[in-house]
Amino acid sequence: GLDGDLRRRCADAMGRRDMPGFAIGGLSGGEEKSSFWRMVAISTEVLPKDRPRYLMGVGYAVDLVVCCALGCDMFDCVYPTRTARFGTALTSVGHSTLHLKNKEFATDFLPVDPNCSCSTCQSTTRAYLHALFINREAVACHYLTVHNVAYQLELMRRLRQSLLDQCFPTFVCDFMATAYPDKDYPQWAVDALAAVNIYLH
Amino acid sequence: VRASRKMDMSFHSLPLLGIRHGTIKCGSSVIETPGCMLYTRCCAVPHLVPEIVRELEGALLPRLTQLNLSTCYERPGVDAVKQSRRGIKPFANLQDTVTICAVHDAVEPSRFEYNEEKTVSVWTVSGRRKLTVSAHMEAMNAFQPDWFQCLSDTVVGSSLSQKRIRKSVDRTLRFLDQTLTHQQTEGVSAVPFASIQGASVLSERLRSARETAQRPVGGFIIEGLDYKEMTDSAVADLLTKTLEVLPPDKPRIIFGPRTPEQILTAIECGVDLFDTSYPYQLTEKGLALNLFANSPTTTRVGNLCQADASTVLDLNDQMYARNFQHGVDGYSYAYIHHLLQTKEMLAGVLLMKHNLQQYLRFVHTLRASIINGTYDNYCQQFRSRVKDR
Repeated sequence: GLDGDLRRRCADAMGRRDMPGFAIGGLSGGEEKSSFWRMVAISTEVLPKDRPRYLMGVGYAVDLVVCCALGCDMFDCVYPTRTARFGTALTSVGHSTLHLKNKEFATDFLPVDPNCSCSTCQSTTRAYLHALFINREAVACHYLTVHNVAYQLELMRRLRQSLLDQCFPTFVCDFMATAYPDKDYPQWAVDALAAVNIYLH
Repeated sequence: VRASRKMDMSFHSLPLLGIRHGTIKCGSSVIETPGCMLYTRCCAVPHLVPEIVRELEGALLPRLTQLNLSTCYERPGVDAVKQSRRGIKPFANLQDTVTICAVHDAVEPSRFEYNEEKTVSVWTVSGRRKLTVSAHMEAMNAFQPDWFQCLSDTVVGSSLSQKRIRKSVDRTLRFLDQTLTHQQTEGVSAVPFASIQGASVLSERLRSARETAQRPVGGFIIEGLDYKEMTDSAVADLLTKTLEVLPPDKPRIIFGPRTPEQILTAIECGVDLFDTSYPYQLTEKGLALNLFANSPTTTRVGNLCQADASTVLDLNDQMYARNFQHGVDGYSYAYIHHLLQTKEMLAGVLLMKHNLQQYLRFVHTLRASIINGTYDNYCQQFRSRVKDR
């Protein structure tokens, strides 16, 4: 849970076993973010460095980036697909969401994400998906799921590339600046990143 | 620049049987008859994104797509499509296909009680919308389909008064003439298709057919056939007599969910085109088409094994829970049953793809048998199989 000592003890004991990898749990239930990041940090600090750390049930784009910085390797989350079924698109433009069922999208002829190369963005517009959602057609969910998953995968791909290119801190800063153009960064993210020597301006 | 919508058609009749087969060339598309048009909802094949539709056998993919106002009139709606300025095909990513815009959703029963002298009611996701010929033509102008069904007062049912049936024929003709006039003045270049009415009264059917045949339309849609109340032979009789009166050089279409047996009968009467609303209807109920002699052995309660050669399988049934035969698009009946039990959306995707493939292959094979002279054999085999259940 959110008890640092217990978590440390658990991670330590688990780490002594020769496992192919370790799952970090108990942190996907909407916990208070300042506790959340500290528990992730404890887990990744204590668990063996040469095994994958799978953070279960995370998550939103910001959470993914910060938790990668804290040393997690793998994630799973219902969020991108569930939110797609409800008509919410994840977009790299501002790393924000679009609620396609809103009337404003009825005549928006842009693709969901102009930067995206997934099949949905190559073949449909926000206006068409809006129409499909209002008509309650199942295929609307499928179109948007394809895109939202592509968004997540592309985010991770670029993040990984930045690690390979040795410019991860820059990637993180750019990402946060895009997601928070008014620089109103959430305090927990600022603290978590500072803990691994990434400072947001 | 709109590509020419001129239709170049040729139909041939088998000498002894009188069964038709033909081709309709429209722009660069070739539509083979007898054949199917793709039933869509809001311009999409239900459950299937284009990548999945493309996984269907290429030769089977229809070159004609059916849209309907029930699922398009509210959203995207006339305004949004008008604003896009290029018509509904690019709006909805419909490529390389001829489009025909029907008035009603093929699977919905006609609620003609709401129709009036000057309006037809269409049921959209937001409820009832009354369309005048003007409003209908405004939509056709914005959508720019290749072909469209003219506004019509379709009535169906056994308890219709003679008066109501007559009104339906009169109104439909009036709407037709008004549509044709509108076309002239507004220059809508889509090809109009007329609806033949008359319910189950032969005299009205013939009147509707004879009058409609005199108008310059691209083809005919035989509406209001009561497959629920009338026997197959009664429907066949009505169809044959109605079609005899229509010019043979224009396509004859039936909208609505038709079983394979009903398709055979209709083709023998002289119908050219159907839609794929039937496979959709089956999918929504968790039913799978089984048209190509895939006999899944099923284990009932008490360990009685029974071969099931039905053409329609109810995969909701508990008896499929452990049937691991790979009968649905490479997936087992057990898996589809599980998906249905857990209400997973994937059930719809796999069933729709499977049912569409089966239905299209059925019609395709049927057409091939007409062309190479083995139709008699083919349909006899199929009909006897349907009988022994």
